[in-house]
Amino acid sequence: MIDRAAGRLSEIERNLDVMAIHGNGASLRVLERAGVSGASLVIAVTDLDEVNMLACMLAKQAGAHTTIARVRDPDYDTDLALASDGTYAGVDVTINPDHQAAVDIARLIKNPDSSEFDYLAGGKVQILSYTVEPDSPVAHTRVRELDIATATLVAILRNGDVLIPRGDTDILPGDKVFVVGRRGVPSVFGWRAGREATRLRTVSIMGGSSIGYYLARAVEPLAAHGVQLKLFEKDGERCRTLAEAFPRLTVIQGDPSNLEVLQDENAEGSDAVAVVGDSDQSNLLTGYLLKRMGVPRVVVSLKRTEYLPFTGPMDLDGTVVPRVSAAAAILKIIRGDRVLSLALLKEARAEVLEVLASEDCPACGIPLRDLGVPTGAVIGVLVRGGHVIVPRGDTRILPGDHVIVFMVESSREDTARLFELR
Amino acid sequence: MNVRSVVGSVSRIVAVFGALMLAPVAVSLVFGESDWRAFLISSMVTAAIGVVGALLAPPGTDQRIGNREGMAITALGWTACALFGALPFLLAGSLRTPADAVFETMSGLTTTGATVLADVEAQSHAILFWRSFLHWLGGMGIVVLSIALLPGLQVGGSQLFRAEVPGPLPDRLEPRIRETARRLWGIYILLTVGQTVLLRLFGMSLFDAVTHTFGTVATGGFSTANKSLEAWNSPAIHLTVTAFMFLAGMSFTLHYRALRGDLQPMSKDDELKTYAGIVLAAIALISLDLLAHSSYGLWNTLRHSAFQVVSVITTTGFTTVNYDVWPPLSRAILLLLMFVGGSAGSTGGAIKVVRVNVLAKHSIRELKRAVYPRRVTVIRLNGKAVPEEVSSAVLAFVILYLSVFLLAMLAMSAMGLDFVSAVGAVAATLGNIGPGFGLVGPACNYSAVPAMGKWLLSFCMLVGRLEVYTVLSMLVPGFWRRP
Repeated sequence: MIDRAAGRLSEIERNLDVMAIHGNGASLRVLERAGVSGASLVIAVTDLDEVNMLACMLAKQAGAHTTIARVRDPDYDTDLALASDGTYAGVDVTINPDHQAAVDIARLIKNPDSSEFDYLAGGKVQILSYTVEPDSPVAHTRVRELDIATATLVAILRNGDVLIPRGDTDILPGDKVFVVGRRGVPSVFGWRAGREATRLRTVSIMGGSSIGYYLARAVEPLAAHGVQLKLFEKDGERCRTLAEAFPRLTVIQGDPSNLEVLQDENAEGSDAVAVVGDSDQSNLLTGYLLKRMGVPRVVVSLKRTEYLPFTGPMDLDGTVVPRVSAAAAILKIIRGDRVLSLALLKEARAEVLEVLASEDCPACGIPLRDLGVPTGAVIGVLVRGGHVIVPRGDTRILPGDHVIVFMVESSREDTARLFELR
Repeated sequence: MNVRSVVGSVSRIVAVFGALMLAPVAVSLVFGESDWRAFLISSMVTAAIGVVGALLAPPGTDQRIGNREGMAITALGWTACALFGALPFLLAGSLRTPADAVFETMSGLTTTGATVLADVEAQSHAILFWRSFLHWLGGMGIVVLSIALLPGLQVGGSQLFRAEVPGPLPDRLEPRIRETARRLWGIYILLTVGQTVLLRLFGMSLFDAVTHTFGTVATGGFSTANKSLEAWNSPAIHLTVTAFMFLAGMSFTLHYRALRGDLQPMSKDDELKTYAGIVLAAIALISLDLLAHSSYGLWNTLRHSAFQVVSVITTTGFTTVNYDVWPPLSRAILLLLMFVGGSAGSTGGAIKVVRVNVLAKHSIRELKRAVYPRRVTVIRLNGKAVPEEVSSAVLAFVILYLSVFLLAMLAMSAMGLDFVSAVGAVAATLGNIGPGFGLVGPACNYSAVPAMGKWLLSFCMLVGRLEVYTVLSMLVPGFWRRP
């Protein structure tokens, strides 16, 4: 860990098992002192894009195996999109938490059926999560009674704890259930949490900083389909920049946490609102206000995860944490080449992996019931030759399969051994 | 204010101008007329003064041309050319008073086309050529020409360029200003050759074809006939002139891109769309008005209304008919068009379509802001945001333009002109159109205006051609002082 703030470093050294080096991360001398030439992974996540990119370039030249840089400026972001081979000036992977968060929020806004979901295996496999409401058809049923042919129930989140479902587990109202399956299928089950699919006519974005910018960029194509797009931002200069960048966006100069502004500009008339301001507290407050004012879908971005357990009663339709999105990207690289994709649960220390089964993978050829899958892990589905297979007890994993695995952190090492992961 | 660089640059422009005065000497000799001496003497005097001035202030290290120097060089250069260009009229005896001669020269250089000559047809070929040649030089700009020709004007050339080329946001066609100036003149010469050939084909004499082409591509308006283009009753000639007036009223940047095979900017240009829209709407309204109140017949109605509309909006001022006898609505529309003018980066004068465009968008935005005070909207042209400074400069320009118009109109009224004539005279000279209404209408000329009025209108022409700021900023007290 290299940082310029000596005070924070000593605190980190006390709390974490890392070696702390005081200095400038973009200086070759400092990097060499940290042994960067033999490093298998260098991650540069300072606040300055240029420093991160420079540090990665230097580290790469010095012999680091893989480099990751956090890059947030839309200018570089566009450059990176243009670099076809995926590496840009010595940076193997770039992480843009705000961009990732904006993409996630845009998905939540556009798809009114689920509260949160993610795609794996090139879009063939979908992870969905639903909060089970009291009037849901699946409330108070046993897991084995569910008629699931094309998906696997991989986890239940109850009171902040992750339960690995067994056949005799009851599904209770208030549970958040995670389902892995073929794309689009779970909604056929009638698992809808009682929410009507609303047609989007007006989408509002509260806050025009980095996430707001990327979100505006992501949802702007909706304007071509007659959706009205509004963005609320306090700062006049920033408003002007956004208005210049997005001709179809209605930019409103005003504080989104100011009730008068929201009422004057008819924010409650929106069909979906994303609250992406800089302050978690005012984001939560604004989100809560809008939900009470009757906005059907409210998604809030939060910088920190501490508040997440308390957002339940606020009835928000989704929360996005940019850091979690970024962390997922970094973890995927740490886990090695066989992990094709990775999604993190915000609420708990658990992740969903897409793993490529190798030729000599210890898990191959053995029926799943005899495999000894760790207690904190569930094999969700297999993707073989482009087909999604929902596993039974007698299903065998074959080399070349993509295996979608859910696991809690405590079972990580056992699971990793099973698939020869790092 | 760097006086040395101003004197040096103005002198060099004057020297070039003196050399150009040799062209009418050749015309005079070809037609066997006697006034070649007047032009030769004028040329010698002008060139000599220019060369002496240039020698006194040679290009040295201290030749910084900033914003203020650029405006001073342009305004003084134009004034000097208008004064020296008046010499031949006085020496050849075609005009008697300095007021008349300077008015005629300024009218030529600023591509206004307002004349004090009662009988144009009685003038020698050399004089007629000189008037039209003044149009041609002033159309693209004597400063731009000097930048293209002379080596000493490149540094700071962009300041000069900006002071002379019309429009709020002049485009650079090439990274170097001198190359840009040459490209613009290249297109200009191409248009000139094209129109001359067409007019010659449709039966004009070579002399008439060349002079009218000069008057068209520069959007000037001096004719060799007393009745302007009404003297040629040929639909083909009228259509050709209409088409080339329209082309001259377009941005030369668009012509340049189109000639290089890139038609994309032309098909997407907001200003061009507005320009074409205004022209078509005006033609339609005037045609309907004329059909209801006149007896031209459908074909002639369209032909005359199209010609007059294009002539006035491009600020050319050729006529095929005396529009002063048209019904009130048609005349009112023409008066409005006198304020619109051509496109930015064209040879046309007046306010310019792009400014009208920005002004309209700005006004609509302010209206909306009254309803939604918190909305932040950006004025766009061709999809790009117009910076706030530019749109407020456009507002200021329009207000200044109208202020000059109102003050000059008051002054003309004080000199005894009736209301319609005063409005027409100022609108037509400030906008560089030429013929106005009433006393100075298409069937009359400016000879009846008192001498004081001629000086004032000459000033209006210069103010209009150099787009208000360049001339008026010299009246700001701090302009001449060191910063």
